Formats: sequence, C-alpha cells, structure tokens
Amino acid sequence: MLRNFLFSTFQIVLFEKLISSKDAELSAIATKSLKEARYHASHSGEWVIRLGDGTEVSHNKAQAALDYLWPYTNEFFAECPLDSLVKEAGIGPVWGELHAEWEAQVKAVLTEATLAMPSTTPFKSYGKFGRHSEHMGHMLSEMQYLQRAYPGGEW
Amino acid sequence: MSAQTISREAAWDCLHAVPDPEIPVISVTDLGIVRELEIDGTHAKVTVTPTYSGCPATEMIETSIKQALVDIGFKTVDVQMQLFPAWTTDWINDSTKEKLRQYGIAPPGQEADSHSPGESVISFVPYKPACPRCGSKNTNRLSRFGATACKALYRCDACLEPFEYFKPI
Repeated sequence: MLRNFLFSTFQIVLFEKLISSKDAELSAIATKSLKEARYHASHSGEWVIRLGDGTEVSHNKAQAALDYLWPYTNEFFAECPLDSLVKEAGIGPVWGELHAEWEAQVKAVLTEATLAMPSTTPFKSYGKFGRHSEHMGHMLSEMQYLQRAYPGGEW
Repeated sequence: MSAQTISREAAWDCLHAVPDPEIPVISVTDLGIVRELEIDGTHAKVTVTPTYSGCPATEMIETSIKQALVDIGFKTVDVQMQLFPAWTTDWINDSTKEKLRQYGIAPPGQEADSHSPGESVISFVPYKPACPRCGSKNTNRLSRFGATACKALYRCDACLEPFEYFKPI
C-alpha cells in the first residue's frame, strides 16, 4: 500500500506535466492515465492514513514499510542524460524538477497518517538506466523458471 | 449478402450488436467506444477508443468487431485505436445506464474525475450509488476494486445484497 501510494503520487505529478507534451500520443496517454493514477493514489493514500493513524501495530508496520521503501524513491528523480533533450524538445519534464511537488503531496498524507517522513539517504539505485542490483538476477530466475523448466510450454 | 451492397447502416447495425465481452447486455456502441466508421468498398475502418488502460477486454473487442464486420461481407477490416480524446464514462448514455442497472451493476452516478492539479485525492467519503436491485441509497463501499478494475464492490444495507458500481472515470 505504501509503495502504491509513493508511486501513484509520482505518476500524478508526472502525468500532469506530460499532458502538455508536444508528442500527441504521450499527451493522450497522460490525459487518460492521470484519472486512473488519481484513483490509485486516493485508494492507497486513504489506506496509508488508516494504517499510520490506526493501531500501534499498524502504525509501526506502515512506518517500517515507508522506511524500507523511501531510499528507492530517489530513483524517480535521478538525473538522466536524456532529460535536457526531452525538455528542450517539449516532450516532457526533467524528472528531478518534479521532486518538490511530489514531496509536498506525499508529506501532506504522511502528516495526516502520523508517519515520520524518512530522511534522505546516500543510497542510489539505477534500475531505470538498466543498471540493476543483485535482486534482478533472482527475480528473473524466478519469473523464467517455468519456461526454462518446460521449454515451449503453453497453457 | 454481396460485398457491394453493404451499407453504412448495415455496418452500424452490426456494430450495435457487438457485445462488451465483460458485460454482454451492452454493446460496444452503447459504451461509446466506437468513434468512427469509414467504408471503402469491401474495406471497413473502425476507430475505437479504449476504456481503461490495461482492460483485458480491449483486445477481445477488437477481434469481435473484425469478426462481426467480416461476417456481413467485408473483406478487410482495420481497427484503429484512438487515445484522444480519452474515453470517459460520461459517454455512456441513459438507456445504457438503465441496461447496466437491470443487469445488476450500478451505473456511474457521478461525473467523471475533475480534480485540478495539486488538489488532494483523499476524501474518505465514498459516493453512495443507489442499489441496482432495491433502489435504496443506503449503500456502503466494501472495496474500491471489484471483479474488474473498472468496478468497485458495494453492499446495500437495505436489502443486504452485494453489487458492483461502475466507477466514473
């Protein structure tokens, strides 16, 4: 629920910018997806508040989930070499510039949920540039297990 | 029917009869997703606007439209997806809403999402649609996601029956 909340809030901030993209298809997808992202953020955001401001157990679990996930949110805003080209061409925003808006929206919900916003850590992840951590190999072997065990299998 | 005689009218009639795979009481034209029909001899081009992102019915709707038009004599059918303007439940007309209600699904009762940028999405006050069976507005949302992503699960506190609500989008 925490992950959905952090991510769909990011989607809202991003899609609001992509609506005015010069790329017609991207703009159309953003216009449509924004409505769905808002529904997801509303759903998960309300749960974050219920859990955070719920019982001691639910509060501690929600805080632990938030602390665990928080470092990964750095990656949303990681500088990408394509950013300036994309912005110059009017296709989309520089993602790093979305940080303040995202943080403001996230903070409003976390405050209501009585959850403490974790501090920024030096941790960096680079999945969006195709540089993955050791988890990727384990995940792929799990997901590819069936096809590897039974080549050509269909159902 | 020979290929030369397929009229626009016949083609539209055919489209009016293509059911939504998930809710067979309504057709693809009832949903408002068929935006355009162009006919050139035995070739038909249909422009369709998808409903929800990732809706598993989209591909099936495309196949059903092709098959239905081929069945009435078209040699080739091209189904084009058009993303803009985005589909909205506001395009579902009143008679279709009534069909949904009779089928047991509460039709979208609010206008589609109209948040302004930066506006909070948190409300905690779910909309209370009328129960499609007994008409009571004494209803409660049990889950924001029903059997499909486009519906939410509710219960009527008057007749105690569960039902699904077609979310406005």
